[in-house]
Amino acid sequence: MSENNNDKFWETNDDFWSKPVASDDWLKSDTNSYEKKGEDITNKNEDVDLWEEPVNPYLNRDTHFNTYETKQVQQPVNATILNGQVLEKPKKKIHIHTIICLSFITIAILSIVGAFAKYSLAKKTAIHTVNQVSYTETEVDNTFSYDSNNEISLAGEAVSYVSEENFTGFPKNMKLIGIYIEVNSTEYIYGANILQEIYLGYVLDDKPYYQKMPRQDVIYPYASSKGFQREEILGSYGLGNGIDDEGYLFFFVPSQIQEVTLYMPKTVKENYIDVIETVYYVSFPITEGEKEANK
Amino acid sequence: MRAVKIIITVFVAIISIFISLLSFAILFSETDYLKYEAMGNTDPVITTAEIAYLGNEYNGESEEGYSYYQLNLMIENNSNYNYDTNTVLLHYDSSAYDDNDSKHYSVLPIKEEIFGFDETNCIPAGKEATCTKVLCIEDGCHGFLVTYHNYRTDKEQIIAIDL
Repeated sequence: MSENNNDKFWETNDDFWSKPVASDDWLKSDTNSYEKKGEDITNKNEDVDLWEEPVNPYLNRDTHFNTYETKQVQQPVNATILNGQVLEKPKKKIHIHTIICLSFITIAILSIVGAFAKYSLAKKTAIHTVNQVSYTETEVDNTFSYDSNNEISLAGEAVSYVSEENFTGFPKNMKLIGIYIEVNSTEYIYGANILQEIYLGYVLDDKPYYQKMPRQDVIYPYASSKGFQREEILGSYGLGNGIDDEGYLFFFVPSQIQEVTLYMPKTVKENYIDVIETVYYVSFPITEGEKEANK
Repeated sequence: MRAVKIIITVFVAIISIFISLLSFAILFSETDYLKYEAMGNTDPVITTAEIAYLGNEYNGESEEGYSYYQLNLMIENNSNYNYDTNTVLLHYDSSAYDDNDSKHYSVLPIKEEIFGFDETNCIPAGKEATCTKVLCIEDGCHGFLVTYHNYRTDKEQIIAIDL
């Protein structure tokens, strides 16, 4: 920019600086203006009738006045109407962040309460379910379908393999019996039943007794003396559902027992817990015998 | 200032969502253990108790001044789960009998003594079954109390046995 032009610029802008700041008539005519230079504005409103006097709209929005003045000025909202001026209403502050935060906190609290209530209800239902014996007992043949994917074949007899007569140190008045079983499973199905928690029942002196299968390591010393391999001694942890199994279910029973019943429970999931739906059972006579070579 | 507000809002939202998800995760994980919670609220009941004298010797064992008895308990299981008879823990007390003086007994869980395991007796769901225990009792004892405290339901059964 040349020096001449620079001078012209300032000349032009001198007009600007010499112009009045505001051209509103009320400002020019407002003799009671609180912004009037040199005038003490403290308690100025005490004797002023705001309903009659013109109101400076800027005052309403001004926040640097003391509380007393602000209250006095802000109360007469209709003053603007009385003066025929339409003022912009002060905007209500919407605390959107606060609302969002409170919403999320509410959701979190409701989730905790809901989860607790749901658990309490589920627990109550489960306790009620577990104390309701509702299963049925079904007598089956030596071959039957345990589940849609499990076919079970039983030998049809329980054989006494070991007793104190043929094993020194064997518990008195007891015998070890074995039941041959084959489980043919067509496929693995997620959640399908496996044959487990098998137990044996018998009656002695008119009293009912029930036995679960002993551990393999307890049976093995006796069974191995009769030629049984460890893998032939089936455990109670589950048979079938995608895996074919065959072997012997061993039990200890009193020596005078001549008939036993094998129970095979089938469970279903109900109210978050496994409940017995059906118990399949087969009764066998106990015979004396030796391990067959092909089994 | 606006940025701080946004950060706080996002932080609160993340924490709240995390708490919500966590509460439901805990709910679903806890429901897996409802089986045990439910089992803990079942109540096997001893219906009858009988005692039979076995002699001064049992299974090749004998102790001077002691005799062997077999305690037969009928236990009713009204739940939908099979029980081991060992879940029915018994406590024996002979001090209630004044004339017992200092007589006492010891308990030999029959299966444990014979086979080295004690979990084969069971009480199937919905059935009544017999549970046997062999007791070695000092001669001169006239009786004792069998106490079954169900720790699941905190109920207690006391049965008096006269010898």
